[in-house]
Amino acid sequence: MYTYIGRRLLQMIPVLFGVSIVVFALINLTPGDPVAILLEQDATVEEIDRLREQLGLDQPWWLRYLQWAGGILTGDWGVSFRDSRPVLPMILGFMPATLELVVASMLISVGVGVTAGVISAVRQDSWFDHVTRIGAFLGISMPNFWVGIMLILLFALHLGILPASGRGSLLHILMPALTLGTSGMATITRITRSSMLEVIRQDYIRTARSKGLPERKVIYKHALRSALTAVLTVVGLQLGFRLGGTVIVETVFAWPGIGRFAYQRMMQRDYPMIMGNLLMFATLFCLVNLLVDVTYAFIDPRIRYD
Amino acid sequence: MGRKSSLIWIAVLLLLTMVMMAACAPAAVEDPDDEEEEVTPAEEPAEPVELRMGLASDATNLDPRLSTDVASANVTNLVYVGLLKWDMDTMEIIPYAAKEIEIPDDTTYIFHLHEGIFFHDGVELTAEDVKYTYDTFRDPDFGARNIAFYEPITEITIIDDYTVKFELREPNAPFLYYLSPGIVPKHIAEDKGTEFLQTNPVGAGPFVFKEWIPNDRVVLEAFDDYFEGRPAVDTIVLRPIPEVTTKLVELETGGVHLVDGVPPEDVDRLDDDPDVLVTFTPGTGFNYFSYHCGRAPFDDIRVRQAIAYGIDMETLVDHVFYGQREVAYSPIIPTSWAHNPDVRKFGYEPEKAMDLLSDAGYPDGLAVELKLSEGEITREMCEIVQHQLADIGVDISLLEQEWGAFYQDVLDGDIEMFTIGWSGQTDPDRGVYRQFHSRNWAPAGANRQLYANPTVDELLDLARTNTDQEIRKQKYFEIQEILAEEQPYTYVSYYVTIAAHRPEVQNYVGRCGYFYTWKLKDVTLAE
Repeated sequence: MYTYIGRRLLQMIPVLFGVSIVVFALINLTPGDPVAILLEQDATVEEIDRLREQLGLDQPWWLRYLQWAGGILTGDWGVSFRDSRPVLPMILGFMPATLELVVASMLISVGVGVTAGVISAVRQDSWFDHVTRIGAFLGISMPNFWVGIMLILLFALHLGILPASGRGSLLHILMPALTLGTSGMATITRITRSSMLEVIRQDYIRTARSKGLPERKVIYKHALRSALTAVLTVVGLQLGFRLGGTVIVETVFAWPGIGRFAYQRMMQRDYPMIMGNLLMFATLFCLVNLLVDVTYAFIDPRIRYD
Repeated sequence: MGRKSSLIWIAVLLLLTMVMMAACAPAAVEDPDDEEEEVTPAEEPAEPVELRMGLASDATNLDPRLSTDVASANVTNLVYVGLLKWDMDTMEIIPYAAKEIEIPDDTTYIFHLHEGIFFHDGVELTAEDVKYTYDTFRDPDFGARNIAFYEPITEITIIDDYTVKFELREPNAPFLYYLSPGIVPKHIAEDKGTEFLQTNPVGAGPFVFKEWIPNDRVVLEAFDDYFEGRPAVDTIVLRPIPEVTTKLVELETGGVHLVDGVPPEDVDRLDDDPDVLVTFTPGTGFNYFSYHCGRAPFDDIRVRQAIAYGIDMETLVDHVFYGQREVAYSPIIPTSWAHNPDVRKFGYEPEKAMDLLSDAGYPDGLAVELKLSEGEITREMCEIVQHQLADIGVDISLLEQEWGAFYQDVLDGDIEMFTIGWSGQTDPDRGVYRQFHSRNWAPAGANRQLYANPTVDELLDLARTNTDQEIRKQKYFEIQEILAEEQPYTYVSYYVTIAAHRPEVQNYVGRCGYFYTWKLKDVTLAE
């Protein structure tokens, strides 16, 4: 296992390198001059050229990439075009809010999704199963910005029991986490249900029942554990995508996370910040994937990594 | 590998992931000199009065020399004191830190400062701080975004502690209008370096910086020793809430007391709410259609005039902006002393439009691509224009682009017809010089439509270099008459800032854009 994890960590390096080159090339090819966007609309060509030189944008893109990559290796992630401040501390300053939101939403998605999926599978074709399946369908279909706005109108405006926006107490995180977790909850419910249905029809489950084991133990200790492999794959993917996909929820709820910030900087062509966000998200995504793979070994003893 | 080892590795990886995401940087940037006061049981302080504002976006940089965006100005206008400031009622520049301005000749300005203006750390603001601030503005290595405004300055001399002299290379009438940014404390800027003031502003303004949680809030507290008198409220909290629905819910539920950027379509609904008062303030800009005046078909004035006649601008503006804006007809805004209300105005006359097109050689009409940046209101406006111009034989195809790509096309001259806006017009020179002088053709300048008229060029130069306001006014009047006639722009509407506040907010006077927070020191909250 140590060798496997070490190998995976080393494999991250060329992956991050490759991703960074592709994104760097893409942002430099994308129409839109970052200097013109930074300055007032009536800036003269002298002002534009002066700022371009100050920001290093007068150099060829390959040289700028090498400078950026070299800086990364020494811990220098560059200076934001927009804010004139170092990139890394700014990104790290936003991460806790996003982490908090993502973890809370995952707890909701997994907690509700797995529970509902298990019960739905065990009581297949019952009223609970039907309601769960309809709910899952709706959860996947509803766009999360709409869900968020509806929750704000209901709980903040009409009922007045939750704050509409911002970050602070547990009450602040309820609606954003629910909004972010809704479609994931629906997906996890469906995956759990279908995996469970497949597993509970297996011979070993029949054997466990015939041995007189309590039904609860049959379902949760034997069946669910086998079904979790598929669920874990989905959870891992969702975790990775959520870390980079919180922009809409963060915007709707004025949640001060990295998603909203990264989107703003992308629109403003803030190249150092775009690259910094990319590197952060890509690294997190790789680590989350590794975490999921290692967790497989815990769930399924047949899986071994050498 | 056993389960125990798997568990250990899972824990290690979780920890590694958490460390990656951990707050190495503090979530909040706090005032480093903040100290808690001890309160004895016998002296319970009164509940502080806190004014909460919901704004469209967050500040980016709290050093007034490095920021150019409105969101940052919302904060710096409260924390800092400028040499001069805007009187938004008269659109004139008036004394602020400088109590008096002496102008011995066209290129010399002597500013006499108030005595007894103190920075928030107790050090007095003197001429040395003024000189330091503007020397850094002019220093190319410092990186001030608006350095061009201060390039006419050749020398800044300290006469005494409260007197500073600015000398210019040549007469520059708009020069005073660029002296409103905050004066920074030299002793702090030099001692703590360039980055410090970007996140820890220290000024002499009515409010002291306490905390900035990026994309969450800026917290300011009243400065007891502010030279114009302590503000009425104890604390101001500025919260960036980009989603309009959320912002309005916060206002309606009391989460915030005051919001900016109310969409026109929400005004009627808010007017019906007894807990909300809506305010309208004339803006500092306008939106318009423009053309590539350097090539066919829009190099012909008759074609541009035909477009003006072919758009029912009254109906368009009334519909798109819910009757809350006026139709524009001049690039100098109505609240400016240089605005000419008597220029030629093109009403909706489709027959005349078709006659002009025919005279210009387009009896069967023509096809034009209209580029616009993404946005619901802009799109709606352009769709209406597309429909109206179809009636006069102008077949408009719309190309909506993301802002960066759109602006790049405009700067590159890759346009036939486009729509955009101008804002932040203070002095009239700001509204016309760079936009219409032929030496400012894009990409060198803001004359993106490649318009050229030697008479306009001469008038613009005269208006810029003459410090007599009456003479300047006369020149600007002539410029506006020519521009109205030649239509390098087909003007749409003048901006209006729509804000809203709760009824307990007293003494609030609406201000627009860059000047939004300037009068907040007078605001109180009724109980």
